[in-house]
Amino acid sequence: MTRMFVSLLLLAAGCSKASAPAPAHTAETHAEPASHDHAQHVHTHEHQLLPGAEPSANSLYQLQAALRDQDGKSIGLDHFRGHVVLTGMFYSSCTNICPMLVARVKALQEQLDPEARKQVKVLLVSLDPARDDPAALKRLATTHSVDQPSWRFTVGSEDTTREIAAALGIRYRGMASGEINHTPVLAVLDADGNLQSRTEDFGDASTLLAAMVKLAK
Amino acid sequence: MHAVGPGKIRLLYDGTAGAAPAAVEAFQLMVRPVTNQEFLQFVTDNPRWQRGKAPALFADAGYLSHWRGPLELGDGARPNQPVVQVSWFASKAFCQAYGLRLPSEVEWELAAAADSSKADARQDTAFRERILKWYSQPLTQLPDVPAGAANIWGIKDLHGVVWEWVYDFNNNVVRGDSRDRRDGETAEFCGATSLNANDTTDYPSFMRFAFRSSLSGSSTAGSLGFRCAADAARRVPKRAEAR
Repeated sequence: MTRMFVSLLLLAAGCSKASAPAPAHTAETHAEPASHDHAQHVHTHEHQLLPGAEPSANSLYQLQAALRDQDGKSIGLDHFRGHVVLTGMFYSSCTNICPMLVARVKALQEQLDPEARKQVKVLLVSLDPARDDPAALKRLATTHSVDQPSWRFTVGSEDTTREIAAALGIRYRGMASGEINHTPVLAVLDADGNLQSRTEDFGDASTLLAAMVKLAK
Repeated sequence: MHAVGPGKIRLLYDGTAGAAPAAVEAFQLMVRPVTNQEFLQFVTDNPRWQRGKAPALFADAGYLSHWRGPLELGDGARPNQPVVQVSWFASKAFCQAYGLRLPSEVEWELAAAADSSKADARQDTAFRERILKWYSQPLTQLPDVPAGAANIWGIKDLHGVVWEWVYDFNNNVVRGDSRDRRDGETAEFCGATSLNANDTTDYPSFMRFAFRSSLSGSSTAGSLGFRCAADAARRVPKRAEAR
């Protein structure tokens, strides 16, 4: 059976309370094979998860986004391809909801049993490429005691940031104050990068948890 | 391409009541929206963006659905009509393929605030009424472009033909339907929304903000097209210059 790891794509963890529409590719869309792309559907076989295989039509890994992590290393958005990923977006100077987002992700991980926890990776993407360099990301990871291989805090170019946000249905706007207004999003990606669960309500992450448990089996 | 700006524009929602207008540097903008013919050339040169090949992440099921085939316009799409049924990802890729980019929201709004005699005609009732009249009409067959008169910048068809993608379409954190929130924020949020609106009489721009807020990066619609922009200093490739 396909071994899936839950990529918790921490989608734009919001510093604002606004809501945003679910992107077209969320919800049930990805549960149906794209007509032109049967072969790469998420529930297909293991060989399609081999490195280099084309991701499925709805996979976030179609973005081929280049990022840098808190260690200054160049990694792709698909760094944890083959695993379940919990993901979202943040910015390190955020004093509001972003710390809550990291805390929420930690809490979610702790609710997983030890086996599932090993399979779930965390990849967070900065909304603030102008200010979030690897050093800032490192400080954030250290502050929250999550500077470990399974947690990547990343930053890309301005264009990459806009594209990832668009793919995750995250809305954001830089304010004159230096704050970045954004919709708070946490999402779960399956092994192939398909969005399997998404929430804008950190208070109720039960659907994310259920998705991770299911995918990590 | 024509030069637009520099200028200042106050957007309907900048998130802070009383904030200074956004300063927009001079830039270049296509005189009219991108046409079917131009987009056909793009997908011919870039097969990855052909209907049926573009990944669902980048373009929904409506992508170029009005064309007869992936490389054929057919009767439903004349060469000089603006291309519609294109997603943000596809529009962005088109512009990038020609060394251009999508205009930002403030750039587009600055260009679109002008009429044939003023840089900012938004307080002009007749100007507003014309735009609102178009917004309220059902979509009929799109005209060939350019269709309308040039504004003071030399730009045509910003109003009255198609809605257009902007680069930062997903920058509107304030949502028209925040009333749907089931938690306790509802009243607070609606109140905040009205307080943050800088000019509640500029209804056309409210319509545009609401429309953009309804889109995702893969969205397509029969009334939604785009045009490309470039920085002022950029030497625009000859192929794009004619537009």
